[in-house]
Order: sequence, then structure tokens, then C-alpha cells
Amino acid sequence: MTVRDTAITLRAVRREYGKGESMVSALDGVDLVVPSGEYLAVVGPSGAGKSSLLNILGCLDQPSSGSLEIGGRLVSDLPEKKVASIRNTEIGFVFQSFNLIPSLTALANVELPMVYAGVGRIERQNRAQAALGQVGLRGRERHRSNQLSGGQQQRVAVARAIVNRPTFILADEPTGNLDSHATEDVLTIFDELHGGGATVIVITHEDEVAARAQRVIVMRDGRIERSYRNEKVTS
Amino acid sequence: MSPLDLVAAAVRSLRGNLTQSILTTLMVLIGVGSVITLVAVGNGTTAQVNAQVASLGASAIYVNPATDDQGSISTPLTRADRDSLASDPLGTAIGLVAPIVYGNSTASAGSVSASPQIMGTTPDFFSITNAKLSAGRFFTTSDALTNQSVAVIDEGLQMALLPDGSSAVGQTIIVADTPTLVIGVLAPTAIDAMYGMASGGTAYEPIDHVEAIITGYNDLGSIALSATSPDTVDAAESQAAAILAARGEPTPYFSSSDELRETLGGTQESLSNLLSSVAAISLLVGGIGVTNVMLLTVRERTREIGIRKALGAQPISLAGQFVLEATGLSIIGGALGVAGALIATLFPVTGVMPIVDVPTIGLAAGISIAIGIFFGTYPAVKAARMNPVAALRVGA
Ligand SMILES: Nc1ncnc2c1ncn2[C@@H]1O[C@H](COP(=O)(O)OP(=O)(O)OP(=O)(O)O)[C@@H](O)[C@H]1O
Ligand SMILES: [Mg+2]
Repeated sequence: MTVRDTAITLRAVRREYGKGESMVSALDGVDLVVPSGEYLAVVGPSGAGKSSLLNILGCLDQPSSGSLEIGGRLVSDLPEKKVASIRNTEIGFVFQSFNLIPSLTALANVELPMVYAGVGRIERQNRAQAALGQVGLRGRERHRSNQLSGGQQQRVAVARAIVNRPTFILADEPTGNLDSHATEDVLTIFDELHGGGATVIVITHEDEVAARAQRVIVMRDGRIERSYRNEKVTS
Repeated sequence: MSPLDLVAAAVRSLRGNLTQSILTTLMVLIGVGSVITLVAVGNGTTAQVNAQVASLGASAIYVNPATDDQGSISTPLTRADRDSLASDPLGTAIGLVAPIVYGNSTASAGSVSASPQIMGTTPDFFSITNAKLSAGRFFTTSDALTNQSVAVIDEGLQMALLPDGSSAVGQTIIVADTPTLVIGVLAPTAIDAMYGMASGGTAYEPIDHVEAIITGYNDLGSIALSATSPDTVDAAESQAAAILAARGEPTPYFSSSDELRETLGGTQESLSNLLSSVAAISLLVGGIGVTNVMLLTVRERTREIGIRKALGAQPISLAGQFVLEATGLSIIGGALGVAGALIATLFPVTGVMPIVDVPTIGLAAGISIAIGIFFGTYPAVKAARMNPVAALRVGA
């Protein structure tokens, strides 16, 4: 396995919150190698450290100790500007709570990552429209997020995550607030992205979501307890 | 992120947070507007007081006879004193000189009577005191030569004799049993405005008439003289003292309109200071208001900053956006405040016409815009340096 094949490497990653008596150890020495193009599910009980792990993978948070490598680059060595541009162009993050900007329309929300990537206005609108079409939201471009249902908001968030064609899709319980129909739609999109070569990492507590992944890691008390492969899934 | 996108993002965000935007603008508007208006009212008051002082006769000096310890006149002033004051080559700073005699008498018009003070003097007195007429004319040297008694009266006497408010000019009144033609009425002076008019009013007549009819040919009550310019009042006083001393007179007691000017100036200055303090306070209140609004919404903004950071916003773009937003709002608020103040100052405030001055506009607008930018930007820039996850947790 070459460096290029290895998308993400975590070594002895710890993440502690707070200090002294009240210190919580959310990640207690995690080692993880994610090959390029893998579809990985992260499961485990509440408080196991799943979100803490994904936030570090998505460069939204820094480990207290240990190292994170993305595409062969040690993230802690990179300047803030460079990390921002990795978040912008290489990572698409989907949050459980959507995290749309409520004052902006669906289209403007989807345009945001391209605004920060310096894409021109016309191209931006075309691509945002296309992304919204891809998640089945054609005709909802001008709606604000508070005029959309939870499932629709999550689709906007997915459109926003994929619009810069990132190599990594990181999703923290993306279907936690969705019904089975909407869940199916979002998972189908992830399948398509994975089929297109993207590395997909999804946190979930739903078996049908975990069943889509090639590999499942089970976390408990800040550690990876075990991991297994889903035999049925190929590619 | 292109500059155009940056502006678009700022405008969108301002529209999205409309209440916050309007409140911030309002705070800056109130701060700037009230400072400019209050300072303008202060300027207006100053100008009004200066005009009143100028109307006093900028350089009138009264020479009063020296008095002894008991306050009675020890050495009276004479016509000869007046003549030397007018003609002595030492008096380079002395302009006009007018002798004055004072008498009291009754005056009546029809069945109405009053007890005015009668002042006998020469026409120069009106120039020295910079007197203004509300009707008619002053008396002249030729009036003094005729047998017809004439008088210029003040509005106090006019009111006393003609309570119906009609003009006394052209009417013949009886003063000290002598029919006297009223030829002019004096406009009220700043002294009258400040201290109220003498209760019975005053009648001004040629000095020879007053001496012939009322006081007799005795000593002078006082001598009025003018300095050649407002700057030479002190010089004129000391020259007058020197001239009189050379004639063996003890130093007389001087009084001049400068004293009143100082009193008025002091009052006006304390009023101006008061207005400036109020203006400073309103600027401060405006600043605190802006800060408050910004802090109230910072939780919301912090979450938005977290989202934008998670999407890959460069710290500089984020900071730029918030600086632009705060600057835009502050400038709009400042401009509206200036406009509001310019409109408000078109109207008199408690009788004072406000005068706007340009440095105040610049200062007030500058300070409030600076406060707006600082307090609008500071929390956002601080949040922009936060870890995206930490920012996302705020207000979530
Ligand atoms: N910002 C924080 N400050 C303090 N403690 C935190 C913080 N974030 C997480 N924790 C703690 O770290 C531990 C792991 O949290 P994390 O959110 O990673 O769990 P999780 O596996 O995602 O749980 P869930 O399934 O409920 O989302 C928990 O004990 C949590 O209380
Ligand atoms: Mg979680």
C-alpha cells in the first residue's frame, strides 16, 4: 500500500476535554488507517468518542496528542490557511444537526464552499443548482432553511458537502433525524459518491447504515474496540 | 474569495440579521446625531451671547466719582474733568466722551404717570453705548439748542406711560412739569435682557435741559467714554485715571461693559461645557449600545462562524466579512446621524439657533464609526480564531 493509497492515518490520537478533576478523555489512543476510496462506518455507544474522532479527521478539531496525516501530509505541520483549504476542497462534512446558515437560501448555502474556493458566480450557481438536483431538491433553491423539512435540510447539507467534489465525505449521524425514506435517499447519494472514488466515513447507530459500509469500526470508551468487514459489500 | 463575494456575503448577512443591523445603525445614528446637535446648540448659544455683548457697545467705560469710606462722593466730577478727558493728548486710547447727570422726576401721559430716572447727556452717549432704537431717532446737538424739550425713552417707560402698547414716538409727555416731545424709543439691551429693565424706566434728554429743569447746574453724575477699540479698554481706563490724577483728582471708580461681557461669557462657557459633557455621554451610550447589540448576537454569529470555518473559510475572509459588515453599518448610521443632525439644527432650540461646525461632524462621525467597527469586529474576529468545533458548540 503506497502513501497515495492511504487516505488518512491516525497515530496514538488522544483528545481530552477540560483540565484537572473534570478532565474527560474522549479519545484514548486511537490508531486508524483508512485506505483511499474506502467506505467506513463508525459505530459504538453514546459517549464512545465517535464525534470526537470524526471532528479530528475533518480538521475541525486538533488532537491533544498523537498525529493525523491526510494524503501523506502531517496536518499539525500545516499552516492554518492550508488546513482551511483542505477543509474547503478535500473534505465534505455532513453534520447530524445540518448546520445550515438560516439567513441564507438553500442555493446560497450550497454556494458557500465554492465562494471560499474562489469559484466565479455563474459557475457557482450552476454547480449549486446541479448539486441540489442531485439530492432531489430541484425547485427549492430559493427557500431558506427554516422553510425546509429536516430531510430537505439534510439534503441541502449533503449537496453543500459534495459540491466542491471532495475526496473525503465525513458524516456524523447524517440520517439520525431522517425517516427511512429520506435515509435511503441520502445513503444512495453516498453510494454514488463512493462509486465515484470518494472516501466515505459515516458515524451511525443504525444497522442498515452500517451495512452499506465495507468496513465497520466499533468504538467504546475512546478506543477502537474492534473492526470488521461487511462480506456482502464489494467494490 | 473575491472582494465582490466578500461584499455580497456582508450584505446578505446584514439583510439576514436585520434586527441587529437596524439596532446597530440606530445606536450609531443616535450617538452621532446628538453630539452634532448638542454641540451646535452650544455654538448657537455662544454666538447669541457674543452678539448680545457686541450690542452693549464693545468699549463703553463709565467714570464714576471717587467715594469715601462711607460711600458718599468725596470728590465730584466736573465739566472741566470731561473736557480734559476729551482733549488731553495723553488720552490716545480714549474715543468719545459724554457727561451724564442723573435726576428723578415724575412723567405723565394723560392720566397715567410714572417715576422714571432722567438722564441728561450728549448725543455721543448713544454712540458710546452702541444704543439701538426700536422707533424714532436719537436727539442731536441741534435739539439741545431749541426751546422744545425732547426725550428719548426706553421701552420700560413707554410701557409705564402707554400700557396699551402703542408707540410713544411723536407724543408729548409731561416731564417735571415740562411738556416734552418723545422723539425715540430705545431697543432693550442685553443688560435689560439679563437683569430686567429699571422699574420706572429711563428718559434721556439733552444735558442742558435736565440741568435747567431738574438738577441745576452742579457737578456731573458720571462720565461715559469709549475706548478706540475693544482691545484698548484697559489702556483707556488707565489714561483716564492719569489725566484725572494730573488734575489733582483722586482715582475714580471705573465700570465697563467688559465686566458684563465676562459674566455673560462665563455663563455661556459653563453651558457649552455642560452640553459637551452631555454630548460625550450620548456618544458613550451609543457605543455601549452598539457593543450590547453585538454581544447579544455573538452567540448566533459564533455558530455561523463555526459553519463557515468548517466549510473552509480562510480566517482573513471571515474577519474581512465582519469588518465590512460593522464598517458598513457604522458608516450608514453615522451618515444618517449627520443627516438627522443637519435637519434638526435647522430649527431653533429654546430660542437658540444651533450652529453646526464641520470639525464636530468629523469628530463625532469618526469616533462612533470607530466604536462601531471595533465592537462590531472584535467579537467576530475573536470567534473567527476559534476552533471550528468549539465555535459550532456555542448556541447550539
Ligand atoms: N466540548 C466538549 N467538552 C467536554 N467534554 C466533551 C466535549 N465533547 C465531547 N465531550 C465528551 O467526550 C466524550 C466523547 O464524546 P463524543 O461526542 O465524541 O461521543 P459520541 O461517541 O459522538 O457520542 P454520541 O453517540 O452521543 O454522539 C463524551 O464523554 C463527551 O461528554
Ligand atoms: Mg456524536
